[in-house]
Amino acid sequence: MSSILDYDFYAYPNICSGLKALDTIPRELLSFQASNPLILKYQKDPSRLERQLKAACCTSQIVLGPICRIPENLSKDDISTIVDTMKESSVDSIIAMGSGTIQSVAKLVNSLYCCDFALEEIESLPCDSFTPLPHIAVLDERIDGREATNRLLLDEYRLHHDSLYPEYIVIDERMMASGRDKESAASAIISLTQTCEAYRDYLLTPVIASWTKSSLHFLGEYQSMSTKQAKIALINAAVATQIAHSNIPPGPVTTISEMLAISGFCSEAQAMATLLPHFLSQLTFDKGSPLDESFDEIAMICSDVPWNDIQQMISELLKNYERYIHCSKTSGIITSLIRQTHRLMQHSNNTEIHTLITDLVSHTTSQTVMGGEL
Amino acid sequence: MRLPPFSQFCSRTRIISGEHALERLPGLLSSMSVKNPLLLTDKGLEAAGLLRLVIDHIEKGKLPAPLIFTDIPPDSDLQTVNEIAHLYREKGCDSIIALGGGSVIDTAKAVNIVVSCAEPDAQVLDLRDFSGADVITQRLLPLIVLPTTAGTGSEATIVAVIKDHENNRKMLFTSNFLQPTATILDPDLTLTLPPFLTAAVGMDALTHAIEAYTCLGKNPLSDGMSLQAIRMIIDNLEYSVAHPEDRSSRLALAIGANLAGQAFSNSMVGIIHTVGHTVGSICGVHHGLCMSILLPYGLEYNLHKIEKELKELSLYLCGEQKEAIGTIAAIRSLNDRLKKATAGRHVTRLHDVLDRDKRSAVRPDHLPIIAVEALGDGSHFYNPEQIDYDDILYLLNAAYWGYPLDRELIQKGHE
Ligand SMILES: [Fe+2]
Repeated sequence: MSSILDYDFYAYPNICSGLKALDTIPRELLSFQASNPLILKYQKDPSRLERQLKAACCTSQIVLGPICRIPENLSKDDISTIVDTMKESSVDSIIAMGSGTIQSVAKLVNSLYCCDFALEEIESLPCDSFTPLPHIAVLDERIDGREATNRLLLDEYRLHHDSLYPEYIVIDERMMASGRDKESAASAIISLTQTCEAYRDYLLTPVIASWTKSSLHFLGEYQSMSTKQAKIALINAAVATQIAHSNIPPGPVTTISEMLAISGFCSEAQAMATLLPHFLSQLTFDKGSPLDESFDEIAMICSDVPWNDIQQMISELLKNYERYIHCSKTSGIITSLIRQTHRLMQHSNNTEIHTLITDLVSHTTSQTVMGGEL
Repeated sequence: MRLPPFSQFCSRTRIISGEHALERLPGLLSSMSVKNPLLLTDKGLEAAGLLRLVIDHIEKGKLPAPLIFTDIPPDSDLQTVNEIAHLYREKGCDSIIALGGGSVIDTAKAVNIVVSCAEPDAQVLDLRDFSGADVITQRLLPLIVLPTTAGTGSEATIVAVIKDHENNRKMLFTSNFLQPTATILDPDLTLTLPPFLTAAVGMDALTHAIEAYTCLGKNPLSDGMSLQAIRMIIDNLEYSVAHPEDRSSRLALAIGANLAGQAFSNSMVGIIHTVGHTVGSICGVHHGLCMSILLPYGLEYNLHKIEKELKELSLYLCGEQKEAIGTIAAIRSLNDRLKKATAGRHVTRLHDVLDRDKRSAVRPDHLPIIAVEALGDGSHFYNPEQIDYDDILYLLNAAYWGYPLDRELIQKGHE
């Protein structure tokens, strides 16, 4: 019988966080014997980021390679163009600046380039038989939950294999921008969801418990600190929980939310914020159960932050996020969630998902606000 | 908790853990496309049948038997490293499997430095060419570690220590690249460890976790590892000493030691290791035993700087939240219970440590020499309170005779 002491925990990326973290990139590139990195950045992001990266590299032998600016609505042609650019410049590494889509783009072009595959052939990618280029992920507060993992999601393209882990994660406050509060609130919901899913007792191996503990510590800091420091803490929380989460099968909240986001009904964070409380209400916090003990432990450790109760932390983060969604909009989201999840149920034999949805349906139908729409 | 202004967390080692995890070794070798590994171990483990066990697993996986080297001394040394490096090159090996404790693992790491970093056509392979800071700037060849003492955590760290007998010095290698590619934690590998050694190495692991949680280099990621490590060690150490054949607690201890290794490799240690390293090298006392004796004294010394942390740790060490002093008392009483369980072999004062001829290993006249030497040990830079010669001597005297430190004296000294 397998126990929580039986596990295979995949090696994860190195993490460098704090003041001048960007400046460690040249040293890291040299250690991979790389000197010609492809730079990926969002088109709409300020060009000061490129300048900062250049400044960090100016005293080393690194010459920044081609810079690809990723538009908001990325097309298949854009992907092919990036891969062509990589071939023309014979790049030997990738630096992706920013969180979210751009890291999935980095993982996708890395796989296509190293296997010499076209985008249409992605399904038959030989996942275990190629060595990817070193991928450095420079993260900001727009987390989608996949940055530090072995997964990518880009429109209809979804991949999941161990060659997709980035090599090095950089968290530097120079990457943070003001006015991204909505995005960071969503990031907190995504991280919290992944942490709670990783905390499910029967999957809680000791090494996963360590990473989720760290994530909760960081989320606590996110609540209690000034803005830039808070964002640094948030990204650290996201990375820690992603490392844990990428070593378990995704839980029901993540699975449903991802499907809903792919179908374009709502964002993943919106779906998670709606589903998470239902997921948590199903978990049994029996006195003395491993789950109860784990949460108790965190509550004790976090005694230096204003709240010392993990459930309160969860509701605070949810409230913080809900501030950004209009109430009527929330009902709309729940309605479409239920319609979609009903459809999903027919194709899924995951009992956890079934229970979650059944609970959600019975809860929502009992709410007068939803009555008419159902 | 405050966020450190800068932190780096490196733990690239894949961990395969479980009862029968060794069965995964052939698959792991194949997945790395490894064809000709060199297996390093020592004579003791060969005699204990562990080498046979590993070879059986490799053969069951239909892989060719690896090249084997068993002449590794208890203290990894330069000559052995260079000798193995030449053998590796001569036989065209492509990877290393290390089966053993701290010495075998450090030797394997050092051999990996030489064979990975030396020019392919180099005639002379010498580890000394690669000593110094930041000399290792590239990925090393595949190294799989099978730890046999749930304690040192070497299978998770970025450090290797090798003795250069000719120049009478210890060479220290530190690099993120020294972390092995993968490690397999299987209780079958630690089952033969006798109870008093299980206690000593377990206390070494506990010290790693506690020093990582209380030293200046701590960060939230290392904290997570430390807390989980402490929980696993405290829950399983005594049981494992009393029931050496129990696989489940053996495995839990191995995991705890591994997590503690990851923690201190990313945070560093403090005064307990500073003094313990020197007691070990001057008086030949087992590292784990040094740690278990010195742990309560080192924490007592730092108490005014780490009260908050020790209070947090009381949840793990006392089972409920108590004052910081409660954590130290819990460690003392754990040591006392381990002493009882090992028929007195797990001693709790330096005065009581015996050498092979049953004479005192540590004498009062050793203490001033240890205090001078210890100041040269780099780990004290991360200790939360400053340390000088008088402090170390005071701590050593207390640990020698077994009386608690006078807290007022320490605080006054640092005002
Ligand atoms: Fe140690």
